[in-house]
Amino acid sequence: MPVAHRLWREARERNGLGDRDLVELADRWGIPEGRLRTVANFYPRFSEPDAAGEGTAFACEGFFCGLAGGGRATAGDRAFSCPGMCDRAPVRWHPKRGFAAGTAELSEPAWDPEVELATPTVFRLARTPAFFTASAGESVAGDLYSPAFPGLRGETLLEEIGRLGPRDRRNPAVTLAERWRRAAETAADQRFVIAHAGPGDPGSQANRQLMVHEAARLLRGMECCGRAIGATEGVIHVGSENPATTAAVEEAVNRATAAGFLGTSFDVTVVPGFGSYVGGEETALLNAVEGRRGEARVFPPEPEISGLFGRPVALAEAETFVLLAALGETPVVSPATRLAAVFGDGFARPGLAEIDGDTSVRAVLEAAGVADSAWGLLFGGPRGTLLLPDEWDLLLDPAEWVSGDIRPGNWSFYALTADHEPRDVARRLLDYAAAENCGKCDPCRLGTLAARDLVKSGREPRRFGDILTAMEMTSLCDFGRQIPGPVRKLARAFGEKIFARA
Amino acid sequence: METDGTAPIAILNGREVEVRPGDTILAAAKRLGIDIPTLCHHESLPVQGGCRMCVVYSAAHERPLAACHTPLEPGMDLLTHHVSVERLRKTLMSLRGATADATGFSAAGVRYGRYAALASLYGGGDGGKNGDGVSGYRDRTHPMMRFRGSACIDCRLCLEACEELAGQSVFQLGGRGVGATVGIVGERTFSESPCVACGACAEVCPTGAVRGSDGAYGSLEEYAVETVPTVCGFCGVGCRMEGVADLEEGENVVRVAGIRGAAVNDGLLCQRGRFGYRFQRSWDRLEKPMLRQGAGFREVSWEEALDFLEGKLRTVLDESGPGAFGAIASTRATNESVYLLQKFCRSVIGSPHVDSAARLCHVSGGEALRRATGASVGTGSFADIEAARCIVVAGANPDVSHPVLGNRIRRAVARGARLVVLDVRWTEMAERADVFLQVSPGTDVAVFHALALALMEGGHLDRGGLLDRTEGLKAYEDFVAEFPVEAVEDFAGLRTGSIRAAAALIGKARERTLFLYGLGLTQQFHGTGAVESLWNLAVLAGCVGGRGGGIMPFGGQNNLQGCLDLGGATEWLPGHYPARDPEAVSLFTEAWGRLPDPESVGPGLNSLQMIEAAAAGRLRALWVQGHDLLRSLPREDFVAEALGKLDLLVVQELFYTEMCAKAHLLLPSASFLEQDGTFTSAERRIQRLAPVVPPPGEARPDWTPLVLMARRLGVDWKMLEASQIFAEIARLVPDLFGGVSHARLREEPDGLQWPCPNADHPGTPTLHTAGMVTGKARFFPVDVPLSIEHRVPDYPFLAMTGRALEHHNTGSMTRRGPARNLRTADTVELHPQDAARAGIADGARVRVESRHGACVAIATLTPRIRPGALWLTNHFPQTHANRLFGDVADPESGCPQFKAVAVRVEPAAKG
Repeated sequence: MPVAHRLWREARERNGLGDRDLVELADRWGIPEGRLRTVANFYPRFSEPDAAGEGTAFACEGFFCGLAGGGRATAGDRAFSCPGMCDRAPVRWHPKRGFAAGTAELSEPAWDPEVELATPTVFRLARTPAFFTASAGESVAGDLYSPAFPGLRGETLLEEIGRLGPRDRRNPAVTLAERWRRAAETAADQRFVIAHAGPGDPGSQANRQLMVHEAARLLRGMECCGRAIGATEGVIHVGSENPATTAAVEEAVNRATAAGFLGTSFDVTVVPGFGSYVGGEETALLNAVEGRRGEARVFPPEPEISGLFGRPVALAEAETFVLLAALGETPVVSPATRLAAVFGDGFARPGLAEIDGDTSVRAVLEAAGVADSAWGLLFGGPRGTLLLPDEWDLLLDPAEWVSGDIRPGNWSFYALTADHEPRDVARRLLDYAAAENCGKCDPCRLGTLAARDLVKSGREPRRFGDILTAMEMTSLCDFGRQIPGPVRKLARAFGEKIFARA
Repeated sequence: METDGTAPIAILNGREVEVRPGDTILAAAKRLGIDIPTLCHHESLPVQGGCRMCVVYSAAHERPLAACHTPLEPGMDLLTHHVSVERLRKTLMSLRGATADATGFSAAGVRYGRYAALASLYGGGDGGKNGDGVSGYRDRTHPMMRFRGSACIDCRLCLEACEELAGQSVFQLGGRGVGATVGIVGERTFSESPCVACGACAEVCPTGAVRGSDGAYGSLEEYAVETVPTVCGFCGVGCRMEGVADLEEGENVVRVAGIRGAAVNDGLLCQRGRFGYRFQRSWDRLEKPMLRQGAGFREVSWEEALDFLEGKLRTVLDESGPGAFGAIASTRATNESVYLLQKFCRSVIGSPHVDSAARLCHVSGGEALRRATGASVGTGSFADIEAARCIVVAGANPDVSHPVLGNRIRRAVARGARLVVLDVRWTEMAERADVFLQVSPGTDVAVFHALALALMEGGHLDRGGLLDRTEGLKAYEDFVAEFPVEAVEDFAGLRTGSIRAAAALIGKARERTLFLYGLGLTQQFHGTGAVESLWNLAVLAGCVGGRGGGIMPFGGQNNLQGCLDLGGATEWLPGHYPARDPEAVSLFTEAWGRLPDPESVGPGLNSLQMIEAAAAGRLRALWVQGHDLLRSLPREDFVAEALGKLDLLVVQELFYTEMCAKAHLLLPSASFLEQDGTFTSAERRIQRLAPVVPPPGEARPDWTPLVLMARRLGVDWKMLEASQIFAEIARLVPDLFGGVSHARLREEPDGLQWPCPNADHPGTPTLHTAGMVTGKARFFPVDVPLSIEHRVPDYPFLAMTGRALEHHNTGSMTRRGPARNLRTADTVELHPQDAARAGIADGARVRVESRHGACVAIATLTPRIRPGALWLTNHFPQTHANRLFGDVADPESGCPQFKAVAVRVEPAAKG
């Protein structure tokens, strides 16, 4: 078992790992203490005394919970990395009692174990619905687990996927077939398929819903991908802060194994996460799955060449695999179909929007009832794109985004309204990035802090620009490269509100 | 760049560069001599990619490329110092100052090294907000290592060096984001951490946040100082190092560093090599010849010293003949000095009584290997460590005695080699072992025989093949059948099944099994037999003569091998010729003009026999080269008495050691940092050393007074330089050394492994590749009784001496460096159960008493040692550990038994 996972098991058994525990475990496991601590220190949850016990609540200190006025309400509260419940922001979490949501609940939380799995409203804005069209509750095992694109494998299957043309969710400039072909073509004794819920931010809400309610399609999509690249092992990575989701996914895997779909030519393991790993960065995810520090790795080589344990991986969010399975069933489904979280107080009717390439931003905003005072849209979360009202006619089709200015991030929609000060938004974005980054590379680790301090002081806009440029240009991974996008646009559009003393 | 027109090409700063497989942009730039700034990069360590200073501009890419990890691709057109990336670098360097409040960083104390160099180009040297750099976490608890948190840029190179190069784990990383700081494990200090002070972390530190207590950090390449490449003079590993002299006087060594790329150590050093150099400028070095005057000494000129020496020598020789003279060489002296001392003794004086410190350690192993293979040396190279599938470490703790090799073994084990350790103590090496055989003292031979039986019974061997390449297999099989595995396990106090488990590992690795042994085997009554019985296993495994296998000693001293190679033992002439071999006698008589006449002087005496002879008045003059007999021979009081009876005791030394009090004349020696010459490491590797600084005062290399004295005694020795002496050695023993010369060793700094018969010969990493000169491999059915020190009534414990990491042998060098503050006294390890019974508390002063004498040391209670055994370090003269030992010695080799003496223990009387 990887080191982090062993630590997690011990942390739960011992109600948190203290100094002595680590010394003892290092000795018992024959792992040098420094090496063990290096892993343990990365995951604050391992040392939380209440990691599995009664008592203290955890307050999410993610970006959206921050914007919604969240944070540690009582002195006893502990910081908690984003569990992806941004649609309920601000949230608090209790290991035994579940989540409590909303500002009103800060002092007297109403714990609700069900809230994690509660299904939000789904707006169907795509022409052909692809998601939630088959119920996971159906017991018709034969239908539920018929392979996607049966009979095809390897290059033939990759060609078929390439012909249909689904794209990578985070980086739509690349098609899945292109990415996966590299994994297929890299010589290896073993390859892996990894599905994850995306970063601990609103993107994970959509993915989590799909993991729970479209589990069969998720597994079929993963199996199909395995056939395409020659992998027999699949991994689903779910945060341990989403216990209900984890249980549902494990249950689905067990059912699929019992039905004979898994366990013969393709296996799936559910691997827990211990607090979000650097905003969904893929190489950091690989480290987390391997039980190391969830830090970005240097690349190239890309994960498709050297991914999990040095083997090639095909790695995507759950949505991608569900969509793949759906494409195999219904040829009319658009490969640009996405499930997007639309959330926050800026909307009268928040929920999940199923969109495709013909949906415009404005259509989503109108369907969800955007507030009149909205002055901006944060599309794609902290690493996405700030869209100002004159840009809202944009079509949600990556093929249209020629300039490369639009980054869809996690495809979520959050409206910035009269309740939000541009300067506060910029500061919280940088606060979040400073707290959430992995600490591996200097521009991200130090640049986020330095930029945040400049926003706080309201001075030196030129230097501010230089720092953002250094982050964009030199950061090791996409986290540091993409954080400056929305911040810079805020500064450009509302410069005088941010750098008042410039 | 010259290219042949077919190789793929990329462009760097307008210049063409060939794209090689695995090339990074940084590596290619280095080939062109283009300096791309980096902070977190080190060639020997995994790529970090954290500092991002190495980004280079490419018009074809969306963003600049990190040179340290981006592969160079054909057709790339890159600018390393484009204005855009230069600006990015300035911003990056400014971030630490800007975030100093959160990180505690201060550049104030960072004056040298890579960070300071980049700060002078790009800014960032302004110290941040913490001003003078005194804030933040500082660790000054360790005598050799320093940590200053405020100067740390969290580049992680120290952590990587510690884990990847040194195989230790002293550092840790903190949390995420700005909390991902580098610190010492568990937020402790160096002195509370498992740090072994090898200094590998400081060598890679760009800011000096981690540095040696001598202030040294960073790679020497980054400093514009002259460095002198040489060879470490502590143990027999033969690490190459470079030394730096102080700028003002040029007389003191101020820093040493390992040489990257060196065959043996690839940049690594151990604590002794890295920090031990400070003995060199110790205030109490002998700097002038000293002549006995009354109870003390007076400084004299070399002329007067030699006059005295000549007079005394002539008197002794006239009165008692050449047989009254003896010479004992140092295993830390150069090949040239050892060779001349034995030549002086044999040919100028005409005495066969020449010996060396090798008598006290490895002479028994050498004797065993000579009988087995015809050559009294290890059969392979240290490079076999990396190629072996199974490593057997018997009676040695290389983590302490030979740390760089210990490290190489640990890394080999981490990469999948299996490890079997046989020892009385649960050593650092044993912690990593797949099978640890914690034998009780003196039972090793039986265990080896049982291992052989288990190997044969386990069906691991190809008997047909064995019959082909060995002789006497059947007789040996019958012999080892007398050592049933379970009975031997019981006898040796081993866990049931452990012998078969070890045999299975050896049986699986077979010819890729490497047997490494140390003093735990050789310093015994049956030392020769122990190595012979280990040899049997090597024969069964079939590992001799191939890569990744063999049987090798851990040579304890830097030139132990050279000492044995060049006649530093009475039974051997240079080149391992037997001293009584008629052919050799005629060869050397012709070359030297004279050899001792056995008719008149009798057989040669070894060190211990010379002491006996001195006590009996038969030996009257003794010339000792850098070897404290009083501190290293057993029966300390007897040795003192014998030395007191000499008419002439001349001692060449660095320091006024214990024995010097008995001397009539002290001649100041040059240390290994102060002279030219060669050392031969334990893998037969002859390497050249060079003077980093001149010797202090009138100290001279040990061979120079020998030349002058030979001339005074009427033999016209012409040598003026060490190289001429080696040339003579090469002429005399061309089969082994014919191709070795000082000039060639300068060209080939990694040295040459003998035999190297001619100038084109590359040296010989593996011996016996075409079989042994003695013919088929033979077995040694040695059956040894337990020594008379075993089962002695009223002396329930068996004590042995050994080495601690911090000090080297008698400690005369290391006690004069920072190690004196790391370990200040000798300790005796005993098992807590034994201690409880004897009423001894941890840290208490303990009196250890044998039938021969007694000593006092500090008790360390530890389950590492077997119950019934005591393990005593022997680095401090005031301990007098050698008083414990009597005259039990291996009759085959003359090596004293330091690994078992019957003792009893009690709390020491107060005061």
